[in-house]
Amino acid sequence: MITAIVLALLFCMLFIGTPVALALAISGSLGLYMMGGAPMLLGILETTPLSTASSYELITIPMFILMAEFVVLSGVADDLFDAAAAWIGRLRGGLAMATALAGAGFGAISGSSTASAATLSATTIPAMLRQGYEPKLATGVVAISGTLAMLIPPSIALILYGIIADVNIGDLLIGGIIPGIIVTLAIILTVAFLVWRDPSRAPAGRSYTMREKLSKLRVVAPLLLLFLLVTGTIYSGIATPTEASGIGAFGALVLVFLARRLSFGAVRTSLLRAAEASCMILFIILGAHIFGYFFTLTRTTHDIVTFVGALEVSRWVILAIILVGYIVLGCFMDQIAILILTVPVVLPVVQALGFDPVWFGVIVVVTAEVGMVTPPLGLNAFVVARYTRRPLSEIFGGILPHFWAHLLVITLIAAFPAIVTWLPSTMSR
Amino acid sequence: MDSLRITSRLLERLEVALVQLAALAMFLIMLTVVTDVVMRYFFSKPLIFSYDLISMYLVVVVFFFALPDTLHRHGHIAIDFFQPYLPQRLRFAGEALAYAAGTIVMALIAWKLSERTWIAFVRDEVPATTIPWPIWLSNLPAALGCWLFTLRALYRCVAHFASAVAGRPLVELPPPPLTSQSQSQSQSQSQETVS
Repeated sequence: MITAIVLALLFCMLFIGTPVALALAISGSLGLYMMGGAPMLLGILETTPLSTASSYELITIPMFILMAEFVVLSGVADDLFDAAAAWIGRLRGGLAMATALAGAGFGAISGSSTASAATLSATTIPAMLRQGYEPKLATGVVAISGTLAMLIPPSIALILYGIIADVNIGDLLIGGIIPGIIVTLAIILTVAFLVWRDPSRAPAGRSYTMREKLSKLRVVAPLLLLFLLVTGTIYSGIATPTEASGIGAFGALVLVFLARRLSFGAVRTSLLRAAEASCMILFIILGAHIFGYFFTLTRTTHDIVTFVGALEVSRWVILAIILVGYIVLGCFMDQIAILILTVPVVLPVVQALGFDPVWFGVIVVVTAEVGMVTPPLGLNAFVVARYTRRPLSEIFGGILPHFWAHLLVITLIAAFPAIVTWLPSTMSR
Repeated sequence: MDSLRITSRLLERLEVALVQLAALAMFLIMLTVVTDVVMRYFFSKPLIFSYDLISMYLVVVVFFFALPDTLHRHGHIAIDFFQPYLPQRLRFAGEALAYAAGTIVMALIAWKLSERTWIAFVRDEVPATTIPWPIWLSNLPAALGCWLFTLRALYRCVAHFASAVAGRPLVELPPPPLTSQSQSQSQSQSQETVS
């Protein structure tokens, strides 16, 4: 009964638009009070805030957010598309494929998919439209390519999952690399399929000389260096993800300096934006911890795990139902809120079914990518629409083929867990 | 309603001051981590204080000092999809109740943190680590941030209640949610403006 009251209160507050963190803290506090009275509630309210915040490992989130802010400020990612276009732009649909590569490149140095979509919108869509690309194809590929930043390390979504699920963040980040490459290939193959079906959608571009191609590659060097500084140091065991995040933020600041964009005002703005974004995530973690204490006391998760374990249904059917649930939730809710609200309940079920938590984390994030581009709350589609002033219906239409391709990728990763788990198993520790 | 506006502005000054310190702490975290890694790998002399400095003080300042300003700027994510479909008075009344409950919870947290800070100060408590840094200095930013958040939540509660009574917004509202419908509307409006 107490659980039902508290959950009803939580959903009412979420429904009227109360900040997710506050809704979790309020409903969790009420539940604790109802179950253990004032002493239990006050004891948890006294210790939880500082135990949540006073964590060295937690700085991974603010540092990677800061790194993304500095990368955008430096503008170094703006030329990624030009470099990719020089190599494959002459193919039919080549600029759209180059967009996917630029999205992957941006994702390798930033964990923010909206920042990626915004950067790609500004740089790639005008070039594609100038060359006579179908606007639907051009905008759709940009929106979906932006989501790669969620998966390819450094990924804020994977780090958050790691913190909530208490799973090794290094394993998660490295585990996201091969799926990231597969999703990039899926986007490229989808573009190839679309232009094969209707060649008028995307004309072939001009070809470049080898000298031009090589000179364009120069812009990739600093980005590659930043990628190696972060993902390379984590993989080789030189640095922990926490240290790598600080190094990455500093490396991105050096890029801002090299790009001659370093000013007190710009750095201050980046720091303020990163502080607020980090605070938002940390507050949700705090709210989730308070709610989590209550939820643990109710033994609801335990009951769900027991119930699901007793079902005479294949574990794959249960996994499919969970993933469909994530796709539906992604249509209405923010990805961070989805992770916080669902992972503490869903992960024990998934683990009880014998699935690997690192593999599940990566699958959840690939599924969350889909939520970033599906109506009515497809944030990346809005970013593209805002930058390009193209109608949303056109953008969502352009995303649709990629949506189906993403479902295939999710099925592939679900069927072959080694796609995720193999690379982390080769890491130096 | 001037009193509401004045209160909001006064709170805003404090919030802005704290969030600037949070930004500074963020920068210091970055510098400390990089210096620590460089000193460890190139000179075999890691900063022995980096772990405690970051986990006891800097990350606490980043989180708790940015907390009230983020609330003021509507930076704490909310599911705003359903809000446009709710009757205005009902929405304001609901938010007033939610912020009233939020005020109580955050006031309890702030009160307990203040108590901890005071006890740590009086007893001169230090952690059992290499450097005996004062614990009260770690608790203080948390208490301050939570008190300011409590005041902002209380202000929101009163302002939403006043809005529910008046039937019109007397409180700063978050930007409208981005939905396919709202985005299409804003696009057609901007196209009309251009034409």
